[in-house]
Amino acid sequence: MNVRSLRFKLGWTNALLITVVFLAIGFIRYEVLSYRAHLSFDSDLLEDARDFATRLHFPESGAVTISTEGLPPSEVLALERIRPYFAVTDLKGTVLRPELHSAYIQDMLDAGALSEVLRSHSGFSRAEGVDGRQIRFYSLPFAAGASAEQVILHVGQSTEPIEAVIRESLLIYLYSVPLIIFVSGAIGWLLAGRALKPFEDVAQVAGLITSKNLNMKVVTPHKEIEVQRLVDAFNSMVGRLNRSFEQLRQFNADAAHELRTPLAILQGETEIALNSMDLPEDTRSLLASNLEELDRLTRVVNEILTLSEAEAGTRNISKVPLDLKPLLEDLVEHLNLLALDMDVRIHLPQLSAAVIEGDELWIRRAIINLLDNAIRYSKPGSNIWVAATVDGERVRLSIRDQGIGISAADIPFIFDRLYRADPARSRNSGGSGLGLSLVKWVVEAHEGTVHVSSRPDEGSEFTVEIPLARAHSSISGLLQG
Amino acid sequence: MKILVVEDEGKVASFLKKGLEQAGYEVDLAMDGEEGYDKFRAADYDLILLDLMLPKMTGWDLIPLFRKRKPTMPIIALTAKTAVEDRVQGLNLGCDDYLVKPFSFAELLARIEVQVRRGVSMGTAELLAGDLLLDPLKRKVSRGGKAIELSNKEFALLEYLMRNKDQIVTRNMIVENVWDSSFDNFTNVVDVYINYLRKKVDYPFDKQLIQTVRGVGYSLKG
Repeated sequence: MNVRSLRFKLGWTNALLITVVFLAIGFIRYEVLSYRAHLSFDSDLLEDARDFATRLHFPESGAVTISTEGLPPSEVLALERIRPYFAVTDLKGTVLRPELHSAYIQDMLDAGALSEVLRSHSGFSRAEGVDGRQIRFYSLPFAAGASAEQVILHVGQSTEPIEAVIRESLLIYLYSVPLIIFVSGAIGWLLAGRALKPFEDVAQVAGLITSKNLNMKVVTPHKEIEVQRLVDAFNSMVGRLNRSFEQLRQFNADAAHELRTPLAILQGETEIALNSMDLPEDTRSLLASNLEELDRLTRVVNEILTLSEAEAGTRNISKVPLDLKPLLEDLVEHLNLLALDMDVRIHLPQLSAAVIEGDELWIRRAIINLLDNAIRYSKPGSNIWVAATVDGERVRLSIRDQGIGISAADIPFIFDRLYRADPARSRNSGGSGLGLSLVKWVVEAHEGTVHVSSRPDEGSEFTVEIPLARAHSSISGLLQG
Repeated sequence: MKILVVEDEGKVASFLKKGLEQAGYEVDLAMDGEEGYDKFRAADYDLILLDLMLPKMTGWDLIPLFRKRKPTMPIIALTAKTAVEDRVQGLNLGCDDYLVKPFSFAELLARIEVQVRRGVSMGTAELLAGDLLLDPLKRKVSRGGKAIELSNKEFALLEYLMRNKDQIVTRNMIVENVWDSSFDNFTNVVDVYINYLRKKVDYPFDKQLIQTVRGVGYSLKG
């Protein structure tokens, strides 16, 4: 999971937003619940207090009684619940008839917890019990017995049951927060994934487009406007790129082609001039030297032309099943003859068959270029090892020499056209500077890759990987020519 | 020997004419396809050197017309188009040989020589050069009655040299005919094989048959 991915950000933001909304709703719900619970508690208390007052017989002295006759059992129960929590005061708040109080109220009186309640003549107030219980009181005037002396009756009720309900609902709410974060995050992740899938697909297909197949277009089964807009923009950009590339290739091909006739004239005229007998010796050697240079120029022009034609697609690659084993054996046998000239030996161990889909002419040419390159940069008396191993669905061909090697700074460029690691050394060895470019083109045209690893003065190893005949990518079906 | 050169590029035509005349050929020039066809009908040529990209009528138009009238007259095509499969295409068109510009004039001369003197030793008859004998059917070689063992490639090379006895064959020609390939690298391989061949058919004997023609190629003298 990449934290910088849009998908991650969307999933994460989704989780955050939903959690915040959930918490906000929870807070409001809690407030409303608590308010309404207290409200209904108060109205119950008020009613119970009044009932209690009407049913209470409060003689000057003697026992206080509550008449319960004719009451339904539920109201009797309510009155019974109140009984432990009542007190009587005069108008100044002085407690009357302390013998009436329950032990709990007596404790509260002793602790002074009821002072505020006792000062009240009417209405609600609250106090905390000695055991920490919250108790809500309602105070109302009361005519006590025959003397009709005005006393105040304070009737209480523990709020503990409703506080417990409110607390419980809050806890359930808080406990579900991690679950909400997780679920909303997961849903956000999945939704973002689904929303981004078309773009992933487009990116994957677009990634298959290289300078070799710029005439391709991305098509996608996703019909969403946003995706289509991206695909259209991409295709039109690739189209513009393709036109530029085509012009460049055409220019290369045209330029090389245009050079051929003047080169032919120069070469022909020079050769014929050399054939005439009556030339002074210095002129003759000058012409001979010109001829050598012309030969080199011709070779470079030919390779540029081949390469640009290959890239422009005017040179077709016709792929047929091609076994690399006999091809390599044949090439190594012949190139060993050249290598012997330089006191270099090419070794080829026993090979097993490796059939690719290939154009023999081009593959042969690419391998020759690699071997030729290895020989050219080998030191006298050294060895070149050629190996071809089948690895899964690909064949890996490696050509390792003990030559002068390539410095790390040059490696990224050696497949570029006309790039020379060491101009002085390699020009004398006769390369055109295009051989490796052609290798790269041929290998890529066969859906393969070519890599080089090298250490200066120790040697280089070129590794070519090409899919075997049966392994063919199906994703290219998404590209349309 | 009379050669018709059909070539629209003036300077190319002129060095071809000059060079071929130096080499002892009689040369007529035609600057476009129609002129080429007119001249072909008006005179009797031993060989035609034909540029394929011509104004009015192209080389591809002309080859069938030439072939209709003179089926065996050698035609060597010249083109500024490249390489490998064009060569195959050119030979399929019905020309006898094919050169890509720019070419070496010595190469052209050698190819012309081979074409105008060909037909001597095609078949399967035994080939003889001095006391060197090659039997293409039995694939046997002997010199002065002594049997010589050759590898397949050495045999093919010797056979090619003997079929073109007394003529110069260039390295490119050898590569094209013996190796059936056209890569620059292989011209060096030719030198190596010539050396192998010499060790077996020349060095043990007094007279050296295979000769190097400097800057051009080889020739087997019989």
